Amino acid sequence: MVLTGLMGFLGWRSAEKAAENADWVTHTYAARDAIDATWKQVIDMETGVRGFAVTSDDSFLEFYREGQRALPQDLKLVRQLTADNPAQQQRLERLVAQVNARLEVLSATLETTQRTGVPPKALLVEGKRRMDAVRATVAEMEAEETQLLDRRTKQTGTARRVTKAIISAGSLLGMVLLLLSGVAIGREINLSARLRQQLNSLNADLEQRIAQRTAALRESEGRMAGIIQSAMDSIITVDEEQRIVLFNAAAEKMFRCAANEALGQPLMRFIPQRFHAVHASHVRRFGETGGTGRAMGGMGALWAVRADGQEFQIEAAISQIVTGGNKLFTVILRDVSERRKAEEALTGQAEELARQTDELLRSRKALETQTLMLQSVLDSMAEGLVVADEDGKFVIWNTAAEKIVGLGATNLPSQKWTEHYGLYLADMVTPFPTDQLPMVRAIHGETTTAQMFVRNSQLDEGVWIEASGCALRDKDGAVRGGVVAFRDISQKRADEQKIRQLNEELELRVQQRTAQLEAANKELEAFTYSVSHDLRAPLRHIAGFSGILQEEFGGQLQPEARRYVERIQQGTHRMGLLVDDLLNLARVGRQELRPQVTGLAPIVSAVIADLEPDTEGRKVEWRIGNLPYVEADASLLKQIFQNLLSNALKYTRPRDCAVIEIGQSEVNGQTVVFVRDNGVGFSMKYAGKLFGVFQRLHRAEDFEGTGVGLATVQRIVQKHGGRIWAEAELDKGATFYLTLGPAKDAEFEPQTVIAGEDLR
Amino acid sequence: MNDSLVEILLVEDSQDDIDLTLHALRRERLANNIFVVRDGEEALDFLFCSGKYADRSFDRPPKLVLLDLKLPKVDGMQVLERIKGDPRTKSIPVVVLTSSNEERDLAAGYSLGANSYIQKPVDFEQFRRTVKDAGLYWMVINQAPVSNGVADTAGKAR
Repeated sequence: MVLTGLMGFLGWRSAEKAAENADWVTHTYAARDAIDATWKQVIDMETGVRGFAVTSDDSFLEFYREGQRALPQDLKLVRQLTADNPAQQQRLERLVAQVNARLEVLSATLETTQRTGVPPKALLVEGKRRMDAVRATVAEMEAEETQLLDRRTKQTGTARRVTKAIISAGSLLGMVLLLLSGVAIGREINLSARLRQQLNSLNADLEQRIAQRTAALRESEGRMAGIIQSAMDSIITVDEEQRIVLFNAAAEKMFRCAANEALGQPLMRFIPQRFHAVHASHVRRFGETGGTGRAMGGMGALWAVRADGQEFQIEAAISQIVTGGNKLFTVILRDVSERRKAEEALTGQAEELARQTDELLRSRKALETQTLMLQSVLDSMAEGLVVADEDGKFVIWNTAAEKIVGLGATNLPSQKWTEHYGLYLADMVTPFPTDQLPMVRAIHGETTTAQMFVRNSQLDEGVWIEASGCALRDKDGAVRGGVVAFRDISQKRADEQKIRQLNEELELRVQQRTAQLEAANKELEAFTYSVSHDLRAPLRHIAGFSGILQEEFGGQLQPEARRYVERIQQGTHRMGLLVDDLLNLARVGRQELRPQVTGLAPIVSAVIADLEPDTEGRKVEWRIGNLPYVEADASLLKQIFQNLLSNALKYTRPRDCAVIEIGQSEVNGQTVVFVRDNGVGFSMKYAGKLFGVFQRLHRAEDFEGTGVGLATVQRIVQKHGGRIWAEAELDKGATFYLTLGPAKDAEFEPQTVIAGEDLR
Repeated sequence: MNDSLVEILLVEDSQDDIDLTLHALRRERLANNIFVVRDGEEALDFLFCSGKYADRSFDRPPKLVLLDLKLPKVDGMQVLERIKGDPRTKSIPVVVLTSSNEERDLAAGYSLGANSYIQKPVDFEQFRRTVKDAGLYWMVINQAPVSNGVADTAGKAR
């Protein structure tokens, strides 16, 4: 019994020990939970402060305040539960210090955020550092408790084995009893411990989950609140009575109304009076349809009114939800005043654009009309007009231009123009220098005029053009191209050339006339000289002989004869006066040429007829050939032939039969009239004197004459611009040649032809 | 007429002038050995012993030449030019007979070396006086330039 009792005692002790061990396991669980709770509390507090820092939502601070209240309890619990463990106590002291340090920073963070609205970054960083320290200590403490739990669980197992040994060492009865009871107790203890352990574990797990869920919900709520608060659009939630229950920061700003003033107010307050009825019906209909939402702008632009009464335009999205049996409407509003203004401005701009487009179209039409007018003007111009831009690209080339130069505008560079259009200098063979072309110079800003000859594949004959070019300038004076106008001056040039030629002819005539005048003057001088010399000589003779008669034979003369001699002397004196008068007359008189087309044949015939008395008693053979028509003064022509034919008669006087030939021949392509005789002729040595006034090659008693005849002939011939010369040989006759016009002038026409026609 | 004894050579184409001149010279007894030629060519032949006067000698030149300017063929000016331009004849005095002052001025302008000019006046008396003065002067009074016995002949002619 004692043994049994001892055994029982030992068994009891062992069981007691096992039970005690089981208690310690539970205790350890509790300690670990307490540590965990404390940690969670710190986390909650931190989360609350961070939520507040992010959202400025006071509700987050609930976590913080709760923690402030609960944390000391949690720590106290941990202290109690770890009182048996000096190492844990030490750790706890450290934890407390670390938690306090963390809370200190948290408090400061909260304070700063409340004061400034901005979470201080530096403190957040410091907070994290301190939190990490807390976390490390917590982990250390939890690890200790976990280790204790492990060890105590093992001790419990050991106690059970001891108890079993005691029982086996007891009496059978006792042993059995003890065994039975021990087994029962052990089972009981084991079950109980396990159940407690399971319960604790479940509780802890549940609590942890709840805490986590709560934290997640709180975080979500906080995040939502943050989103709502920080949304750009105004968010207003109203209850079924249209009372405002949420009014975010954007709404505050939009309506210029603080949230605390707006909350609980009817929404109508922010709707202009005139839309109240409409709004009410909208709300009713929306509620009835039960739709969950309507997109932004789905209701078009609406009008809203700010707290200060200013109206503005908004777009709205609306949604309705039912929570806890309450119907809530949430509207999201967007101020579209600016957009409307922009849209209106845009509309204005569009109208302006349309107006400008109209204007532009009208201008273009006007421009087209002007262009047409310009084109028809350009096309109707007689002058060629071409315009090129500053790059030498032709932009205008009117019809006349193409007609004059035969070619249209070209795309060739200016260096090729001369070749392309066939432009030449005045000599008609040297290509016109391209850098001197009026258009090229016009593009260089110069104003020029040039004449050029144009000959190309289209213009075989070539044309002369006169072109004037000048630069085209914009309103700033910058050269933008060149314009060249030109005209065909071929006819003008031909006319000018004709005029020039006529002038030259005129000049020639003037020279001829001058020569005639000079000859006339010379002749006049010679005549004057002769009058004072040769005509005075016979006068002197008369005077001389009558003087001798009077002086030497006066005594022998009858008085009547003396009177006659006296009268001769008087007559001589009178004749002297007459000579002087004649001299004066010769100086003053100048015969004008009266040229007319005259046939020479009738003139010659007339002269021969006039000379008939001189041929009396003589044998004269007249040979008259073909004679031309000439443009000459008929009376002077007659004098020519009177002189030449009477000379021929005179100097053939010694001949038994005088042969006098009158005809025409051609010398150097010019018709020449000649008079040939078979008279005494003369030495060509004195031919130069032949036509001098009063020059004679024969003695006066051989052949009478004044020496004026041939001079007179020469004078007449010269007056007609002709020439006279003679060929002769002493004793073998003489031939006189004459022309009645300038060399190579076809003034002589063969009279035979005309005469022949006359005959027909 | 023996032309080797010629004292005065009269070069004149006009018979009237010849007759009148000779008449005047006769009146002054200066007409004994007067030789008349009718044109310039003949005058030159006579003076330069050529042509039909080829047998004449330069040794007996006329003592005086009365030279009309207006002559056929070779005119008086050319004759004067030849006389005064040739060393054999240039010492022969030449009295130029002119019809007008104009002609005289022209001849003088040529500076051909005529020894004297006589304008043939329409007034015959005046003409005769002039011829006499000139003939006397050159043939009788002024004998200095003559070195070949002309003076003697002149004296004889007187």
